[in-house]
Amino acid sequence: MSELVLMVLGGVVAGLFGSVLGLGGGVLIIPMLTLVFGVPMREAVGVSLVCVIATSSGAASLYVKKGLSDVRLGMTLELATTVGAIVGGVVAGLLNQRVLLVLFAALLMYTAWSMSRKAEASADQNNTDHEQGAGAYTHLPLGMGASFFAGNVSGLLGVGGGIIKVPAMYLLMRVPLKTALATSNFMIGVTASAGAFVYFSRGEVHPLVAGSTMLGVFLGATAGSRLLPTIKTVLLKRIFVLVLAYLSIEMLFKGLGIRLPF
Amino acid sequence: MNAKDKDVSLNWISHILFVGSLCAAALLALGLLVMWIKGEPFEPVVHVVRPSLSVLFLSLLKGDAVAILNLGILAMMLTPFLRVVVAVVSFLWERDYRYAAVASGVGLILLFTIVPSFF
Repeated sequence: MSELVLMVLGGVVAGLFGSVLGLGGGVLIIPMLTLVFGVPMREAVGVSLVCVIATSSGAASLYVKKGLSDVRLGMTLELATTVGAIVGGVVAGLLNQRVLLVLFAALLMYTAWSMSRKAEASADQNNTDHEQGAGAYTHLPLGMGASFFAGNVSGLLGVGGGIIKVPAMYLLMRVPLKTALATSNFMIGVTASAGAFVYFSRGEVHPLVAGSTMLGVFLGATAGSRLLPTIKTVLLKRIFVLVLAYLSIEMLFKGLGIRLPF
Repeated sequence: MNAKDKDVSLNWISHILFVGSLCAAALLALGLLVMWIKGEPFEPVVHVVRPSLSVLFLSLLKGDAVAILNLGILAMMLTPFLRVVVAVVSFLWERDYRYAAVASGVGLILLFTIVPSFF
């Protein structure tokens, strides 16, 4: 029973930091489940996908209400992300779990690198209050391709895929950054759901692990979104770059079957 | 379609996402509470087999904690699908047939993974 409480608390921590740092939670939930609780990688991915739905639904609800998400663009790109997520989920079932661990370690390292580059930029972005609404975009076929890949990564590794979709919409499709962020969040729930059902049908969404972690994540993400305007995230992001880099190395070593001495 | 219609459809989508996740979280809290009251063991690493709908229904009638947790998980997993259904209806209401077709396409892809999960 104490493990249940720890899992709820772990979910709260992942949800809280995930929402404050804009990470979506997946990149923190999977290391927590695999490294701390010893949950097999594929089951951790299944649970993470359900948690990702929980974190994105709350935020997406708010963004849609404020008119920040481009619902029509989001729906169009979802045609590609959902197919990508199903393919990713099916492929994950065929791969050795160690391969998934190594791929996840690479994704963590990319996330850490991407966060270190954006730590300063996001500080400026938080201070600007320009509201750009939904509107025009370019290069839809390229965007669809990137969305398929984002869905693929989501279904394969249990993350939201925002780290691929946001730059794709912003850089390739010329969507304003705030709209890209809100639209990506809007798409995450549907994408994660498509992948989650693949894991669910294989019996890889453990009710106790998913239930306790998801409840914690939901509470943490709700608290995080309330705290967000009151805290400075730049220092926190710099600390988390190191945390993610460390987790990446630990997951890589676990994937390679090597035990770290620390 | 006027701006008011658009606001109504966006509000519906927003409400569905909020209410769906809140119901799922409430079911999870209830499931964990029942488990705690009954003093059932917590075994997180044991591999599980997905529940069939009939087993889930019968277990729910018995007040089984794991069944309540499964229902909460399914409620969360189905919330995005419900959001897509609401979007289809909203686009049809707005006579935006192009995006009604796009949203229907997304719904069909989701059904492609949802339906086999229960059989």
